Amino acid sequence: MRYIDVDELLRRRESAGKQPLYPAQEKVLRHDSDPLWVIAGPGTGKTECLIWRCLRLLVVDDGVEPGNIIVTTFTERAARELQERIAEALHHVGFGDLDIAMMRVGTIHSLCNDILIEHRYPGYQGVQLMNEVEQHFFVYDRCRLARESTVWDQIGYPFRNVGPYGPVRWELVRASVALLNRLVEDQVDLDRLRRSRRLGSVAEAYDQYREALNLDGTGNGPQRCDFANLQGVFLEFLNNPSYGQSFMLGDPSRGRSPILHVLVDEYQDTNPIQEEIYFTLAGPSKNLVVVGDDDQALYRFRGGTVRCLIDFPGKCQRRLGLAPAKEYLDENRRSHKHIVRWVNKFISSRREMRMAGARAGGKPEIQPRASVTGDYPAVRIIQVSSSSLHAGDVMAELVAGLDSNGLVADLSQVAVLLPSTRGSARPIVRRLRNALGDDRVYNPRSGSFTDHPEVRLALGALVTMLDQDLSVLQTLRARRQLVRGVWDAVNQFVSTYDRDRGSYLSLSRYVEAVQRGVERTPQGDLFPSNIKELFYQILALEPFASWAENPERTVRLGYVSKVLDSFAAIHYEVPRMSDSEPRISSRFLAPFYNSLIGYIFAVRLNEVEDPENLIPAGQVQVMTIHGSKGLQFPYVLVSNLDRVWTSDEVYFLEELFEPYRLDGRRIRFSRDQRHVQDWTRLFFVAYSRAQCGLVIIDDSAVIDSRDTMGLPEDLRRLLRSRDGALGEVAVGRKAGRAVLQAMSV
Amino acid sequence: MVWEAYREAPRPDLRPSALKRRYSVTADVVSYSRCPRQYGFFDVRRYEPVHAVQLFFGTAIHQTLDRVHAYYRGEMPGAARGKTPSEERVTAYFDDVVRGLRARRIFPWRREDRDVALEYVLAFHRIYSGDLYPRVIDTEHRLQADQGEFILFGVVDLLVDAETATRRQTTVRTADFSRGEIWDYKGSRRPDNPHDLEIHEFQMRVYAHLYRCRNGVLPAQAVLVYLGELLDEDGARSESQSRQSAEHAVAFDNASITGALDNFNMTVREIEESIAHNNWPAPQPDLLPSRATCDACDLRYNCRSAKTRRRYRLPFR
Repeated sequence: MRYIDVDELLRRRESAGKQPLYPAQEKVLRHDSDPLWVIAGPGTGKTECLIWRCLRLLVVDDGVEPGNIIVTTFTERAARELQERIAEALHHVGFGDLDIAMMRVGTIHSLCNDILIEHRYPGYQGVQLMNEVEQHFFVYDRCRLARESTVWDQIGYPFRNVGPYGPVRWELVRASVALLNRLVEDQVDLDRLRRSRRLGSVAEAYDQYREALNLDGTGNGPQRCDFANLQGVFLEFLNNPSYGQSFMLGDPSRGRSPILHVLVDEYQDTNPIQEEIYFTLAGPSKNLVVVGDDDQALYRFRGGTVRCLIDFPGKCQRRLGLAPAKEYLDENRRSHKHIVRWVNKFISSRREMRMAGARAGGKPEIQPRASVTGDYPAVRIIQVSSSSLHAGDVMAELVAGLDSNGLVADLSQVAVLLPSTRGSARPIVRRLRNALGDDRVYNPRSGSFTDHPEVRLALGALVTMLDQDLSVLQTLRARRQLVRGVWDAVNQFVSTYDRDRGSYLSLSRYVEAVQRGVERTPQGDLFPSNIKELFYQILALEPFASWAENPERTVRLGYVSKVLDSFAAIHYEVPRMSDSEPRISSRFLAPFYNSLIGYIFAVRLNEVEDPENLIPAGQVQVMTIHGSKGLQFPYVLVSNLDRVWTSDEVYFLEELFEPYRLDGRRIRFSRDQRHVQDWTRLFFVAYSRAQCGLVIIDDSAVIDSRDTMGLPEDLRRLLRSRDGALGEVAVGRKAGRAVLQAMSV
Repeated sequence: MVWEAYREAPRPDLRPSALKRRYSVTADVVSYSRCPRQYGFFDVRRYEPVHAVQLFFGTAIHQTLDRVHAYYRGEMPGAARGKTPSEERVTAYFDDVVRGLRARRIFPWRREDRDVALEYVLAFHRIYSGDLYPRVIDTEHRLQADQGEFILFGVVDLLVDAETATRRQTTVRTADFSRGEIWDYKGSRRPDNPHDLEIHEFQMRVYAHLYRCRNGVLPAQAVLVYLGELLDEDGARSESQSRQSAEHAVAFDNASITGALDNFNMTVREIEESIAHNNWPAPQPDLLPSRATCDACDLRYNCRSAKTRRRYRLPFR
């Protein structure tokens, strides 16, 4: 017998030793059909709920095959985890032989790409899907918007870094990528934009970019697509009367199942084009389940808008003709009750979060139901107010104490969460490393990729081979054709090579031989090796041959090969000789310097993270708050409460396209209000990661500052009234209760 | 001391990673068996190869034939169900595929390789379109099974109905898994090396296991097609002789499938051990990959085992 009823499914779940679902979770499982809006606070068992919702569809609903279900998640890893947990749960309830390979689980981008290929959509045949790095190289090379400042001046774009001659080239590239992606993701009405007096030039710039992409194959050269346009092509596919219908309604003669259920996780970070995709997919069945938490929306800067989640009920009514059922998951099974109380109070402590429409309607506070108990100060706010003491010192002492006294089983149970893990994090990271040792602090997103000797030496050797005596570099500089920062970066790499070449004779002999080869290659010819071949050849020599076996260095060298590959994909693979001199031409070297090295310099590449091992054992995890999304740690330490940088660019772009959006206006709050809401949500995410202990540590000057977003106003006042080098309040204890009362509104 | 406040706090347990690794029959196990060192660098450490030449042949052939089958099912623009595409159209599909691969910078090693790949495709099309196309149930058929400690998955090139078509069908078959056959094409001649043939047979037995996990029964047959054998250079062979020479039916029963799975599990254990120790050794001298594999490998400059003539070279003319 294939199918069972819901009660039997729940009985089997409990027999398998699983904690019973609580009433709101059970309601999600019992939900029959039509749209459903699930608001799930942190630690409330959202993923578990999604898994059992899928199980209910698979084994309870008569007629639902795995191929009838689409689930989108925020990362590929989350997709795999979901698939495996569904398979495991099926096994527990006696359906272990049900194969779910045909269930479509993935990120929206991977699903779009896979489905378009699988259905051989003519608009996506033989298209090169560019990754993020390639899109930057492409925009640098082919996009007028990234070369001229006219359009930017017209629209008054608020660049972050402006030099004496205007924004530097890579600022223009970065802003161009943001603007071009936003235009697609916000579903801007291009016809209206073209007719606009103010923004007509933006539409023109976009048209020029699309033409350069050659996505429709009408031009010459390869057809390319970026991630934003991939979603646009997919939407076009869905709306195609033949392909879209066959995909959504199925075609039994071709063994294709119809799409009967669409489930979307992390809906708070959805952008408008994705929202349109989901409503189109669910159009025939009306079975659209969205799960998310508006208080954890973090990705406005990538085009996500929390309004998709908050306004979901109204949108359902308009698009599907139905109001969704609503469920609020509110039982927190992650954190100590004091932590739950703290995050509940924190999220509503600012006026901007209490305004109508700022949060999902009818949302209850989350309830503490975790097994983590004990009478100890689970939430502490520590104010460091001595000039000789730094927040990092207190963190280091705390972490060392937790570790040496066996209060944590492994250092990876402690996370230091900061708004940024780059410049402003350095004093903290330095102190942690001094106290614990370099190899016991993991800070992969510090932007320090090029600080490592293997990266510098490899790039230094490549530059020395291709541009002996740096003559082209100097010429470009003299002609003011060198992007700012490139000169210093190249000299750093080359000086590393110059310093080390005496120790690695085979490497220096090889480099010199290549230089001689350059001199002998006929002018105007292609050089007989491409840059990746040169890279692999030096990789065979010391010190790279040994470094390639070192677990950390080899991963970085692998990433160098990837960046070289992206460069070759967009610019040139093989260097060309100059027509008039025995050297590599500036036609090759100018983009090599300005695009490749310029990119590496401008974005300050992060360390390469292993997706299979995101939280390496034996090390304290220093993470951005964004990076901690979806994770939990026994101890969470938070600092830099005032480093609440948000570029005006994000809000500017949102406002720029607002009047031209196909789906109408969305902005409900002023720029300042959105700024406060975004930062309140960010710290809410940080605080709600903690299971046993949350420690908020900062300097008194920071706590005094009105820029401090990580603490409610009344609490800042209370802390300011405390004297001494180390002021502390512990929420949940007597003082803490006073704090919470003061915060109650 | 600032940590002392936590003396009464619960001691958190270490949570093992919940995620099982996924292992593909070809991309992981076959690839690792061919050369652990190459697999470690390009699949685990994620180095980007200079040119994905090794991918060209197989990918160009598979993608073109996939379009040809889609045409027969009426899924391509201008196609009618049950209609075989002309050789011109097959060639056009091949050209499109090669263009798409070029956009992904997957190139043939030499111009002749491109021509040979097209000849393979056309020979297959000439010989098999009549009776095989109507029997195809699915192409690029995905299969997977949870093996407890890891997920095993594979993609079968063709799922074919065992029943021979007695008349030309104008409708496309719907799936009848009780009489399905699994077919896999290889873009080469029959391997001279028994080790390579064993790897191919092993692959098909694992697919047979996956098929049984999905459908409850073993496939009716598992067939390897060596497309290189379809070329009739002297013009002296009949179609049935060409087929006979190209097809290799892989025998399987419970014992041989169990053997293949044991082999699979052992290789997965070796891969996991290599990951744990970050050690990706070159293959033993008696298990060296083909010369073509070493010739196209970017690690050959520093590989003691590589049997390649394309050794270290300086970029001189």
